[in-house]
Amino acid sequence: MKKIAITGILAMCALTAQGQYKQIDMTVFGMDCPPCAFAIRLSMKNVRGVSGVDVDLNKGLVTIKLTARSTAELRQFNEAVEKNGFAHQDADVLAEGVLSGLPTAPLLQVTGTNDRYALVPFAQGVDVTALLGKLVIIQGVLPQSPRGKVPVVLRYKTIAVSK
Amino acid sequence: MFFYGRQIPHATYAYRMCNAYAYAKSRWRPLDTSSGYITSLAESEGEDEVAGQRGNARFRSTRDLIEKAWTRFALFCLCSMVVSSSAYAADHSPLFSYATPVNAKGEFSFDTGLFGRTGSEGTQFSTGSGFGYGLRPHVTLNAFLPAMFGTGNLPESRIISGSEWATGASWRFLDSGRGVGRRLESTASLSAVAPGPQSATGVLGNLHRAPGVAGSLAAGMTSRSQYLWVGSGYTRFAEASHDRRPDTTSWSVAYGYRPSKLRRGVDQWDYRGFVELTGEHTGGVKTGGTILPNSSSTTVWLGPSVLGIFEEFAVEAGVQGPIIRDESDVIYGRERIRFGINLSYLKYSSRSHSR
Repeated sequence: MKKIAITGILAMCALTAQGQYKQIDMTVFGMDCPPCAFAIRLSMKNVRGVSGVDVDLNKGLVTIKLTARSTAELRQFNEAVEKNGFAHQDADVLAEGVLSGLPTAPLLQVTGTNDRYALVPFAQGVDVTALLGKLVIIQGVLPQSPRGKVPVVLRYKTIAVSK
Repeated sequence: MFFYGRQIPHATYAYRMCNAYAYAKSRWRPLDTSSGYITSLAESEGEDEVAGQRGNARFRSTRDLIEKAWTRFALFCLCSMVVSSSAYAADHSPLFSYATPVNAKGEFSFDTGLFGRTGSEGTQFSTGSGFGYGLRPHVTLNAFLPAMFGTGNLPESRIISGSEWATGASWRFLDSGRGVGRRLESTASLSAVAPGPQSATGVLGNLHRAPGVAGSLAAGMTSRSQYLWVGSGYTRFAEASHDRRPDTTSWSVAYGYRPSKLRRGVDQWDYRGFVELTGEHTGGVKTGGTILPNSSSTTVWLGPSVLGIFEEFAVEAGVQGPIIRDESDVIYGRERIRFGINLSYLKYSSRSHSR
């Protein structure tokens, strides 16, 4: 019993300590020149857990790479965009989290963060029943959210048990 | 526009201090002759002893004026150097025109530039430092500290920075991200303008100076390839002892273009060119309760400018020539060319408010 309890505690610690957004590719509207990009890059780099930020001005794309133990939340990146006067759009994310909810209405709790999304598949016919309660790695799109808000839905493209 | 790209119109009257210096210098020159300045001034005032004594007193005050002015200028330059070593700024607006950019939240900017005006009665230089702080993502607080030097006698301008202290705020009340690199935005500014430490001579130099208020409105669109801004500003000064400096209305249109080969990444120099059309109308000068005849002026200027940006740094240079000139050559000199160089350095806020 004692061994089970210790194993459980260690497992919980592992879950909360792991970095959960692996990469975020955020489209940002309004960046026309290097100072715009430079300001956003600096703001995002200063978010704890960010290992690198690349900005492609011609595509309006901000690529955020996170460390393995990052606890950064999407709200922080949205705020970094907003405080520089720009508009965040859709974001492609690669994230790790625990799947919960119902087979017809699964939820993803991004571990290490407070971010929680209702999962909607890009394509029909994906059965996530076997993945419920498991740690999964997921790739998908977070749609644009209003200023000061974060999306509630994640449209996932791929989902698999995390190794 | 230098500093006012961040939406505080140029506190101009750049020539005023230059006029002060020129005026003082012209009165000082006789001191170099054997007869001396006192004799010269006394002759012009009737060759009596009283006039000579009066001239002596005026000579002292003139020399004091020059010494004070240059001392202040030296102090200003020193302060600017001290400030620039710890402050940052950047500006990505046209050099002479009104534009919409404001600072990001928590962003501190520092601009400094050198502007010149050449006319039939000499060349005037003005310099100034602009400070901006992004209070909110679309609200920036501004302050402007001017300095002037050189000689010349030219009409008033609000496009070129001058001797007026100014402080105020800019509010980007419309900000619409329309696509990758594209924005549609409008910014309004309001600032208080106060007489600076440097006084003027000539027509404006005889006036009692009073504070004023300046407002402007600018709108425009940006993209990775093209820019277009239109703007207008108005400045009005209060009356002091039946004197009032002229109201000034300024307007501008600026078109910018960045060639495809120069649409590069964050870590490379970014260049763009502008064509700037600016215009100004100054009202009549009120002195002793009456408007001085032919003291109003209307001018329109056109010219190119080039802006280069690398990360936090920006350098910009431009030149303008008159295409419409309606002003009295008797009261003002004939202005032929305007030019400017602006340097910017910007301290971006790296603070994350939600860490």
